[in-house]
Formats: sequence, C-alpha cells, structure tokens
Amino acid sequence: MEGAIATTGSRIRNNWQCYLQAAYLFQQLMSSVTQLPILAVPDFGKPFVVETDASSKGLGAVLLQEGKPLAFWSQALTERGQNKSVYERELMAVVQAVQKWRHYLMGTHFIIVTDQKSLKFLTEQRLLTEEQFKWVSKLIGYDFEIKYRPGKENTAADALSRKPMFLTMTVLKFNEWENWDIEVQKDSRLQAIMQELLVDPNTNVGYSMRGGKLYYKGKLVLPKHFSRIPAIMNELHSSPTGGHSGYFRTFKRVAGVLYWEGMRKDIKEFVMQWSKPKNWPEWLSWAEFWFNTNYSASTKMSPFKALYGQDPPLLLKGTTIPSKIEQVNQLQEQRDEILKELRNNLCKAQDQNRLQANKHRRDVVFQEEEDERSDKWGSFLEQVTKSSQATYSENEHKDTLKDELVSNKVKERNPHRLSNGDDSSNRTFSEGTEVEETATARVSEGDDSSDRKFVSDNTTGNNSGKQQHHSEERNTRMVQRWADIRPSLAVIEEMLSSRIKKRKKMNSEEISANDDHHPSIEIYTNETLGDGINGSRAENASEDQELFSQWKELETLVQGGVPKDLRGEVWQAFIGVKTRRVERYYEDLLAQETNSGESEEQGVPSAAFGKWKKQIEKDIPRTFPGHPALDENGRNSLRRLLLAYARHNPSVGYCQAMNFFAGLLLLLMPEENAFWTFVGLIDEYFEGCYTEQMIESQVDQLVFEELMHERFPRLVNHLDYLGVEVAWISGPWFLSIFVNIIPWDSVLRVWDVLLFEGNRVMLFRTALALMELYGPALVTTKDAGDAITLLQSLTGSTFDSSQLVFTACMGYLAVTEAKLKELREKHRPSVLGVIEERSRKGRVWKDSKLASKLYSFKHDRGSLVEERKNAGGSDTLADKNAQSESHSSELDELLNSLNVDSELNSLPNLEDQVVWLKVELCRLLEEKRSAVLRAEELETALMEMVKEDNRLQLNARVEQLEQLVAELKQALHEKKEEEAAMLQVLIRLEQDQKITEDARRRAEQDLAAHKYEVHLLQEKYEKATQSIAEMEKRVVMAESMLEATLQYESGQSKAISSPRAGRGQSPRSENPSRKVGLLSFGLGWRDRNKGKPNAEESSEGLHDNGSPRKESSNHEHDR
Amino acid sequence: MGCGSSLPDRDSRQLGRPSENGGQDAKNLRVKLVLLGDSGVGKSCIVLRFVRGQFDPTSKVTVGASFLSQTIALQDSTTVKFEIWDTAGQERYAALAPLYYRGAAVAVIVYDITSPESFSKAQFWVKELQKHGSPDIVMALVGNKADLLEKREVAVQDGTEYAEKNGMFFIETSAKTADNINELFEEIAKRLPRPAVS
Repeated sequence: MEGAIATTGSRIRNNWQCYLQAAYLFQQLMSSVTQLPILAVPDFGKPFVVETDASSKGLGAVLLQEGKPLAFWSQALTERGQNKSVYERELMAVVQAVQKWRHYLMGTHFIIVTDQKSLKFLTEQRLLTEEQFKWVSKLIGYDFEIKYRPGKENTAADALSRKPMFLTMTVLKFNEWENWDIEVQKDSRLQAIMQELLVDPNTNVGYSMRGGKLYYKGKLVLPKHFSRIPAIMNELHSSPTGGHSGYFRTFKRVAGVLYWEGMRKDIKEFVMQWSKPKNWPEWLSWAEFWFNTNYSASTKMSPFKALYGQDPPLLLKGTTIPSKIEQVNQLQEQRDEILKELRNNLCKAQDQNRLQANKHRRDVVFQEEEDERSDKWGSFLEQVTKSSQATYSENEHKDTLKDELVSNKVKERNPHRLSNGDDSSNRTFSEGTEVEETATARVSEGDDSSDRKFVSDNTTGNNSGKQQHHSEERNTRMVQRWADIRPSLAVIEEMLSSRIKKRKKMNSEEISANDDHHPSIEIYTNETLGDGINGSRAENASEDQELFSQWKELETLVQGGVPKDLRGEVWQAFIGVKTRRVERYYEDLLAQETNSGESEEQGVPSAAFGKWKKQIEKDIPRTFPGHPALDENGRNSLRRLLLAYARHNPSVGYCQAMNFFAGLLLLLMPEENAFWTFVGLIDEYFEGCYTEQMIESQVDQLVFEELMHERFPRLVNHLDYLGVEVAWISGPWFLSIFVNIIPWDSVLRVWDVLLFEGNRVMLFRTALALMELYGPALVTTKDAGDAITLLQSLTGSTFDSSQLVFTACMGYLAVTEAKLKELREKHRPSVLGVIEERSRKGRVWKDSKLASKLYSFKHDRGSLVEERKNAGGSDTLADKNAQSESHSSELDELLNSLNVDSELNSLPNLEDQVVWLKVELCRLLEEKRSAVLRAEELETALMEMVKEDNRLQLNARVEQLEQLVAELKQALHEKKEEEAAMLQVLIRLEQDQKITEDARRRAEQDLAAHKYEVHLLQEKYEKATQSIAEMEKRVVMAESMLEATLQYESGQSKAISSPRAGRGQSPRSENPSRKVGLLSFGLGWRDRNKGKPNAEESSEGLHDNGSPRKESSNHEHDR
Repeated sequence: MGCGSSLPDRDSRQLGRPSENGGQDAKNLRVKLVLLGDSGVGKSCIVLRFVRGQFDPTSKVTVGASFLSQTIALQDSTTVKFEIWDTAGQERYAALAPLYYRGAAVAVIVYDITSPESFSKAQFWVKELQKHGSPDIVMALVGNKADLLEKREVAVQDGTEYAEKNGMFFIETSAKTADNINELFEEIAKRLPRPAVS
C-alpha cells in the first residue's frame, strides 16, 4: 500500500491546479508577504526568480519577477519523500518547480533562490543518490544560477512548503463569496436548519455549524438554487481540471466538498448536456490531476484522498469570483488568457502528452496491458494447442501423462519462492520502479496462484540451509528444484526446441546455417521437413505454412511482452529447457561440489575452479543486494547454480555479470529450471562472450561501433569530438544484457525478445534503440562527463518498455544475425590479434622453459598437465588464452549427443559414465589446449629461426652492396682525376691562347710602329722633293739669271765688237753648249722623273734656245 | 640599473600571458581517471564515497565499468572535474580494461589491506599500466579498508615502498569511514600536470 501511495504521489505533476490553489491560499494567508494579494503577469523581458523551499511535510515554490509573485506551487511529500534528507527534498523542490514553470523558464536565464546552501553546488554535480541524479538530469538544458538565502528570508516558499497543513483551509475560500452569505440567508430551509442547529446540534443528523457556516457531513452546504452552482459544475466537469469525468465522477468530486439539496440530480442533468469532448489532448495536461482527484472505481476513493487522507481542494477559475478591484479582475483575465494559450500549446504536443499521460497513469494502463497480454497469450495458446492436437495427439497424450506424474513434484517447486510466500519478490526487485506494479499485481494475485499451481511448502526453506551437511538428503531435494512447465506451453516449447536440435546437428556437421531475419523458423521448417522426430507432419507443407504464421503471431506476442505469470515458463520454452535437460546432471554437478574436498581427480583444474568459487562467494551478496528473494535460501540457490555451471562449462567458469543473470532467472523459475535456462543462455546465445578472454564481447563492441557509425554518424561524430568512445557506454550494456542499466520492467521485455530470438541480435537492436531515443539529447552535451552522465540517467529511466522494444524490433529490422555474423567475421581478427600480441609479450618470460616444455610435450604428456596446473596461478592471463571456442562447441556437441542418449536410456550408471566421460573430455581438452599453446610457441620459435635465416641473407646482400658501393666510389674517383687532367689541359690551352694573343698584340703594335715610320719617311721624302723642287726653282732662277747675265754679257760684247759677234759666237756657242749640258743634265734628271715634258722641254730648250723667256715661263707654269 | 628596470617589465608580461590566454584551462581542469584493482577491494565504494558521500556495505557488482563525475575545488581556486571510470575487478575483465585506461590521465590502483592477493594484483596493474598506459599517467596506489586494522595483512611499509619504487603516490583509505578519501583525490589533483605557467 505504501508503495502505491508513494508512486501515486510522485505522479502529481500538475501546474495549474497547484498554481491556482496556491493563489487562493496566498490571498488568504500570505498577504503579509506581498502587498498585492494577486498574481502578476509574467513579462518575458525580465528575469524570473524561482524561490524554493522544502519542509518535512512538503515542497513549495514561488515564481517571482521583480519581487512580485507570478505563481505559487506546493506539494505534499509522500512518506517516502518525508524520509528523505533535507538536501534531497530541497533538490526535489527545485527540480519540480522548474519543471512546473518550464513554460516560463525554458530558454531564459533565471535565478533559483534556496535556503539549502549545498544546493549552490548543484551545477557542479555534487550528487548524492541515484535518484537525485535523475532529478538533476531534469535540469539539463535550463539556464540558471542558484543563490543561497537563509531560511527566514525565503518566507513565501517556506510557508508554501508547509501548506499541506492548511489543505482543509482551502475549502474555506468559498466563504469569500459574498453571494453565498446572502443566498444562504435567503434560503429559508437552510436558515431553519441553522436555527435548529444553534439550539441543539443533534437535531439534524449530518449537519453541523462551524464558524457561522453550515456543513453537511463536513461539506459546505450551498443553497439549493445557488446562482453559482452552474459555474461550479462547469468548472468541475468541463474544464481541464474536471476532465469530463462523466456523471458519477463529477458527482463524487463535487460531493467531496460541497453539498446542496438535489445535488445529484443537478449534476446528472448538467453532465447530460455534455458529450465527450472531441479534443482530448487539450485536457491532457490536466489528466493527471483529474485522475488523481477523481473517484476511482477500483479503490473506492480518489487517489488524492488515498494519498492525503482527505479530499482534494477544489480549484475554480479566477473569473468565477468577481472582485471589486478592477485591477484584480484585469489580472485574472490576463491570467486566464495565458492559461488558454498554454492549453493551445499543449494541444500542439498532443502525441507526446498522450504518451506522457499514459506513463503517469501507468498502474491503470499497466494492469490493462497486462490483462490484454494475458488474454492474447491465452487465446494464442489455445488456438495453437487446438491446431496441433490433431497431429500431436500422441505427444499430447504423453505430455498429459507426464504432467500427472510430475504434478506431485510441482507442488514442491522453487524453494526461494516458497520461503517468501508471495509473489511480490520479483516485482519489488528493482527499487522504485516496480513498486507501483506491486499494487496492481496484488489484485491479480488470487488468480495467479491457482493458475500456477504453487503451493507453499515450509519445509524446503529449512532444508536448503542444511544442504551442505546432509548430502544423503540431497537426492530428494534435487527433485524439488525441478518443475515441468505447464502443458499449455508445450506447443511453444515444441516449436522452438526444434531449433536446439537443429543447432546440435549444425554443430556436429558444421553446416553453416542460412541465418536471416527469421533463423529459427527457417531451421524449424527445415527441421520439420527433414527430421523424423515429428514424422507425422513432415510431409504436410500446408501445415508448415500454418506453423509459420503461428510463429509470426508468437513473435508479435513476444514483442508485446510476455505476461508476468507466464514469463518464467515461456522463457524456458524459448530456450528449450526440456530438451536440454539431462536427468540428474545438475545433481551430479552439485555432488561434485560437495565431494570436491575429498576427491581431487575431477577433470576441472582445481586452481581455476577455486578461483571461480572465491569470486562467486564474493559476488553473491553483491547480486541484487537487499532483494527479499535473495535471503539465505536464495543465495544458496544462486551459489549452487553458479558453481554447477562453472563445473559444467569450464571454458567459461564464472564471469561477473553471470551472477545477475542467474539471480534473475531464479526469481522467475525453480532452481534446476533456472540452471538449464542459464546453460542455454551462456553456452549458446552468448557463446564466447564470457570466456576468459571475452573475445566475442570484444568483437561485438567493434561490430556495434560500426553499426553506430552507419546509423548515427552525427552522434558518433559528436561523441568523438567529446572524446567519448561508444564502447565505454555500450560495453557495460552488452555485458550485463541491460540488467541494472534500464528499469527492471524494460529488462524483462528485452529478455523476452532476446530469449525468443535465440541469438544476440536483440542486444544490438536495443542498444541502437536507446541511442536513437537519447541521441538527440546527447548531441547537446558539451563535455564527456556530462554526455555519459546524461546517457546513464536517461537509460536508467527508460520506463516505457513498450516503446523501447518496438523501437528496437521495428526500427532495426535490418540488423539481423546474418549481418552481425558478417561483421563479426570482419572484426574478429583484430581482437584476436591484440590478444595474441599480449599473450606473446607475456610469454617472453617463459621462453627459457620452452625447450624443456617441447621436450616434455613429445615424451611425457602427463607432466604437461601438471606443469600447467602449477603455472596456473601466476600467469593465467596468458595461459587461459581463449579457451577456444571449438572447445566449448565440442563440449556441447558431446553433451548434446549425451543428452539424446540419456533421454533414450536413463540408466544411472550410464549417467555416471557420462559425468566421467565429461571429466575425461575436460582433461583431454586441457591437454589439447596445452598442445595448441605449444604449437604456438613452436611457431614463434620457427618464426625467429626464419628471421635468423633472413639475417644471413641480408648480411650477404649488404656485403654485395658494399662492394658495389666501393667500386662505384673508385670509378667516381677516377672520373674525378680525369676531370682534373682535363682541367689542366684546358688551363694550358688557355695560357697558350693568352700568349698568342699577346704576340698578336705585339705584332700589331709593331705594325703600327712600322706604319708610323713609313709615314714619317714619306713626309721626309715629300720634304725632300719639296726642297728639290725649291732647289730646281732656284736652279731655274739661277739659270735664268745666268742666261740674263749671259745675254747681258753678250750684249756688251756685240756692243764692243759686232764682228766679233759671229766669231765670238762660235767659242761662245761652245760655252752655251756646256751650259746646256749642265742644263740638260738637270733637265735630264727631270725627264727621268717627269718623262716626256721634260724631254720636250729639254728639246724645246734645245730647240728654243732663241727664246729663253719662253722657256722659263714654261717652267714656272709647270710648277 | 638600466638593466634592472627592463627586467621586471619582461617578467610581468611573461606571467601575465598564461593567465589571460590559458586561464580557462589552467583554472578548470578536466581529468579522466580510471580505478583498477582486484574484485571486491572497494573501488566502487571509494567512488561512491567521494562523489556522493555515501557508503553502502552491500553495493552491486560492477559489470564492465561504471561512470561518475565529481568536481573539486583546490585552495589555489582551480577546479578539477574528475571523470571517473570504475572498472570491473574480475581478472578476465582485464581484457576490456585498456578500453578504459587508454587516454586516462590518472589511474588509481586499489588493493585491500586485508588481502595480500589483492596487493599482488595491484602490482600486476602497475606493470600493465607501465607497459600499456599513457607514459605520463599519474598513478596512485591505494590501500583500502584501512578501518579493518585488526585484519591487516599488507603492511603500510609494503605499500609505501612499492609505490616509491614505481614513482607512485600512496595512501591508505577507508571508504567506510571516509578516511583519506577526499585527501586521495585532492592529492591527485595537486599532482596533475598543469598547463605550463611560464
């Protein structure tokens, strides 16, 4: 009951009723706080201030602007809430107030004033509990600062937080209606009653007087024809707070606080006028309040009353009561307008609101859903059973026989369940979220128990405690831990278990399955066609068709969720527990455990097993701590299961996370059933995931990263930018199969599908769905820490399990086993590479032992195992290197074949043999593994030798090359020398050239000098000729003077002796001839130089003796 | 003296620069921290005590890893935001540990003072980090469950000596009594390499 109250209380999330309620409250009680006893209208240009406070009883907040209140809000705390620390309550107040007024606060900077000093550090994430964590995550996206104000100043909010104490007073607000007083006075009947009561309070049964007002059964009495009655009913019925409840609910609501005669009829008439409103979403914001304050047929009182023990305060719109002050009226009008506008906005968010409303009314919806589920499954099972009865009749018959046989056992099933004595164990499982289910679950509990055939047995609880000391009692108790699932589910089991048989076949024949989206049905149809198990229907193709459609129907049902009371058994059917089970196998594993102290010759290496055992012991109290089912007995079951599994599959042994899976299964089914389910899950669905190296888990992470890149490149980019690796987040998701990651209900829904599908596809789809749902929020984060914190808190509040599962299944149909297989093949080598590298590094230290080990391997196989055991403790990491997959699959193979054998022939000694064979097998596998290791070591050694070989070759090559280099160097040297020689020659040539040049130059100079000399000589010659010419002239002159002298002399002589002239002539003629001789000589020289003229002259001279003047003038002329 | 007058000038410029430009980073550090150590030594409890101030004697097994963050303010008015990855303790989860310690600035290696086995496991982690962790990682060795004095099996000296040999910071804590928990993280914060001041 407490749980129900707590959750209902937490769901009171409504603004306006609280807002209005607070307004009235404030008018009455808080006028001292502000002068204007009416709320102001928000101005989005001014900063908002949120003042919050929390008392031990409730939360309160005021929205202020410039010191004026805009809105008030308060809320009573549930008992759970009251137990919270002051800090937590204050935080709740802040978060809820901010959420109430998000319409105002979103997108603006606002201030939160609190009297809790530590809240100042809110933004620095000083978080205390997971719950607070969720609270704070709701503040992400708001822009605010927190201011601290000591309690006394924070009066408004402080008083509001104590408001629940005044709740009754809110009813008194009707006193304010002046009309009421007047009209009551007018109403004669009421006046009469009041008069009578004043005289004797007992006169009118049910009526009473308080403070001058008349009450009927504690409700304020109104005059029958009170003018305000239509207004009241309108408010209560038609307004969002009324929510069109219909007659009965409206009546109950009104009757909670008011009374007037004929009230029932009035309300009925009023309601009749209204048909259901078409536009529901407009009222969705009020739906919750409506739900919480309305009369609920199931609980016979309104949830509000259930919670607070009194009727909810009535809220009337401001306009209902006209005020004398004009300003007040105006403000009220404005406020109503805002209210209207907000309603319109809410309208826009129809769908979201619808979802939201669904979420808030989950206990109702949950119950409905659960009923629907049960119906659907019921009819499906019926139908399938019918259709199969014809063909299965034989099997069916056997089944029923078997059922009869085991019915005695069934009565004593599941010790832990019995020890609790009720079913709430698996619902109170995860804190907080399941509590609400409990309330509704209880309702159906009556039906459950009869259906489940669970009968309590008080003795089992005691027995399991003593179990370890009384091994002789074991066998009887082991039987009690097993129960067949109900026969009606056998059909499903039959449908799906065939895939287990098929898988065995695949394993043994190593046929690669043609996996696609519906691997199981493929396998199934193949199976039915090919296998002889159900020979009767093998030939009938149409039946296969029918089975296929049945299978599809089942898939849809599974995605819609398995009903709670069927879940445990349906899961077993999915995983094929019945087919897997080998009688006494589990008991024998447990027996090994009890005997292990005495006999050491069991196959499993004791060192490793001891380690697992220790780890299991450590982890058992840390598996769902505090869960009521995990008491002493529950823990013992858990321990037995885990130890048995470790013995069953030593390649896995025990891995953290398995404790949660085993715990989960133990909550849903008896111990041995849980064991076989667990075996199927870990051996097959999660093969290779939880082994020592966790290879498949690592591969899956790489595959998921690739899918993320493909699907959400933007988100991945953002995460990259923040420095967040997807695997940091998805790693824990995958490893825990979402246990402790998402809410319990969602975990179960995911597991429903996962177990049904028979592979890990759902893991990927769910993770992708979560990323799809929360990716948009992640993209807004600005640092790695915030991103991861946000995602953690968001995934932690994935309460809408249906949304999650449908998003996963419908949105990611393309993510199939075939695709995953392909991607895994692609990524596996890199994981193996890393592991190999690491193990090789680890092996370096052991190399010294290599030779001896190799030797011993050849000669003494036994010693190897021992050595391995010795080494086991220190270097397990390297040693247990990938307890190879082939290992486990072979193990399975053998086991499976054994299963078949033992089913056919369940002789006890054969079973012992089986166990012994298994032990042998384990030992052989150990040896095989050692051999593999040795082979690897040899390979390494070989590699090194090859490397050595290479080195020699390389050396030779180096030498060759060096030689070549030397040769080349020499050649280079020679070339250089040649070059030098050439240079010298060149220089010499140049020098020669220079010399020649010089010579040439000198020659030229000489030439010039010669020329000059020639020139000079010529000049001299000319001078000489000149002077000769002058001389000649002088000669001529001298001749002419001589002639003249001669003529003068001759003239003188004639004059003296004329006769003598003749005579004198002759001697004288001799003289001139001599003179002519002289002259001719001169003329002759001239002639030689001047040729003819001179000769002529001379001849003339000779001829012209008679005319010397003529001759001299000729000479002068020549010149 | 002419020299003297120019020197302070240069100094003040050098001092001024980082506080102006790199102030944001130097004052508000963000640090990835990873907790390693054997299963059940109290890694999750240390984080829970540090981040939420709580101690839950029955805490859940950590599968894979879990994340929490916490900001502390130092006396020199710098703040350090720790992004804490709390890893799973079981040996085989070591295969996944590199995912978380890769790129971590701080590694806190925890052992249980009542369990010599967990101490040798701590030494394994130190070696592992020296081999595969980032070279400038700040490592702290923490001996937890210091409140269980009467069950002590690992001497303080062993821890101190080993830490000294490997250049680590050593402290014994108790998540249960909150002893030395804040001191541990404050000391780590002080030892973080700061963005260069000059």
